[in-house]
Amino acid sequence: MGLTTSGIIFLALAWSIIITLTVFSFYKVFKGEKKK
Amino acid sequence: MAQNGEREQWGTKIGLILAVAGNAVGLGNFLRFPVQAAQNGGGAFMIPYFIFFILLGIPLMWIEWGIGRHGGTFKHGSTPGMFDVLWKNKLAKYFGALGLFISITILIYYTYIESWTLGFSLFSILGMYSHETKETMTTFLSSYQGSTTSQTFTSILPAYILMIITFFINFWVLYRGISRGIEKLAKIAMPMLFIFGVILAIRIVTLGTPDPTHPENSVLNGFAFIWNPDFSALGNPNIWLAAAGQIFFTLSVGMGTIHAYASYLKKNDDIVLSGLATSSTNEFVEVILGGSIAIPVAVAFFGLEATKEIAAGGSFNLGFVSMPIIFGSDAFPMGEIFGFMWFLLLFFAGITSSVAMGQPVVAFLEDEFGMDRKKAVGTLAIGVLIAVQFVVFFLKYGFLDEMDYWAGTFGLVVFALIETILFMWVFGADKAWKEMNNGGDIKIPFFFYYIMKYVTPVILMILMIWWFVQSALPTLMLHNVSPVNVPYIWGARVLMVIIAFILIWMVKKAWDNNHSEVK
Repeated sequence: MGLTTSGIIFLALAWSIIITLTVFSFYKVFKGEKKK
Repeated sequence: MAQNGEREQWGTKIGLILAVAGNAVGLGNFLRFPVQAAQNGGGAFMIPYFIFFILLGIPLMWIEWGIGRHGGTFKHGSTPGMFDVLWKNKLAKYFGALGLFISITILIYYTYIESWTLGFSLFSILGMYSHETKETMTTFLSSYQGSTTSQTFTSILPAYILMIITFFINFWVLYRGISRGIEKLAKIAMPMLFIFGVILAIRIVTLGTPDPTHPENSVLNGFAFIWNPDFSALGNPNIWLAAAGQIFFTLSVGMGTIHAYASYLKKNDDIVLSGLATSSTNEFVEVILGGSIAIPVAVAFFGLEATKEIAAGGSFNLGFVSMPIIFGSDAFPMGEIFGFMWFLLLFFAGITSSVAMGQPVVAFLEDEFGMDRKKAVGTLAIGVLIAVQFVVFFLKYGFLDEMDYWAGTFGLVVFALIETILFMWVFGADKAWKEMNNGGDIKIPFFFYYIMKYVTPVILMILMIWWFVQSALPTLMLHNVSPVNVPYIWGARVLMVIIAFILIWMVKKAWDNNHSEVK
């Protein structure tokens, strides 16, 4: 079977979207807390 | 705890985010998601999954935070009072009672399931299962649950004791209050869950091929099972509904719990960024950690075909039968420790959700009946302790499954539809939009206005009708139910009706009292 190229693309895309969203939101949260 | 009648408040913003994320992250993130993805088109499942995350998950998250904070400014920490504020109609508070019904009903059986994870973490570290087969592990689980007997468990007593311990921890956290109990728990349990999840994922990814004589049984093929896309599946409406359902369940919306947590915010506290951070944390745990543990390791140990069978057998089969077999095998070095971490991770995921389910009723008793926290938590504890007896002793007759279907599946979508209509249509989309954006550290992109007003309620309506036809009607008509189980299924229904009537009566009583006080 093996992980196909399209499988790798979907995994990488999904992980990238989620990691970006998580890092963005927590960066904003901590930045906001620091300001206060 | 609050003093002089003042409502409690969250200590820190990060504490609140972790608490709401803890509410969302549950057993389903680790057990339900990978099974759903693998069974519904693999990588292609992520297309509808992300679409519904934007059209259903995030909007509902913001709607619930918005309703909760708005209700909190009127000193209401539960949905009867919150709905009454949104809609000046006698019926509004009774619609809100559904939020209490769902959270308390799920709490009743969830605490028991949560206690299994605590038990299995102890059994792991004590080495109570090793070299198990599917048959012996199934017997281990069923004898622990009291459905059968085995050499290890001759009665239900160990399960009962662990249930009481779990029950005590939950209610102790609730008694401690918002910042000293729930927030403190989230600040300990969520980082621990992350650490254990990352350690387990790294260990499993580096397992490779445990049995060199079967090179096809590898972790890589496990990832392939979840991620290789089957684009033909996208033409099947069932796949889209499965994705919508998964998004709905994973974020723990439609339960009245997020509202309760958000009610302890100030009027100008941010909810937009907090809602987004909560959702993204849940997705991180589900897709990245959840997708890298149970299914990949199952394929590596049992092979693809056997894993498909395991997945078809449901989440409990995967979590409590297959995973212990893997951790107890010689091919998994230090399996006792990793098994301990796996079940403790599930326990942390469970307890941060179950305390959230207790909070709406506690807030209801405090805010609408003027009880102090000790009395409110005590009242809830007595009620749950009585009801959980039926779940413990009638488990094998489908008692838990019946409660889970009506409260934990169908009830959620009904409640989410009601709250969306109330907030976006009755209260008014413009007022709701202003309310959600008020004090926001970021602004909600404007296209979400139309999504929340039109798209989210339509999707919820389709989901509700689909589930009604596909599963609610057959469940109601007792299709495929063994005749032995029928009286117990009716027993579960009677119990739920009693709970619903008690809550409706209490809502009426609270409003009668408050109304006469105003006079």
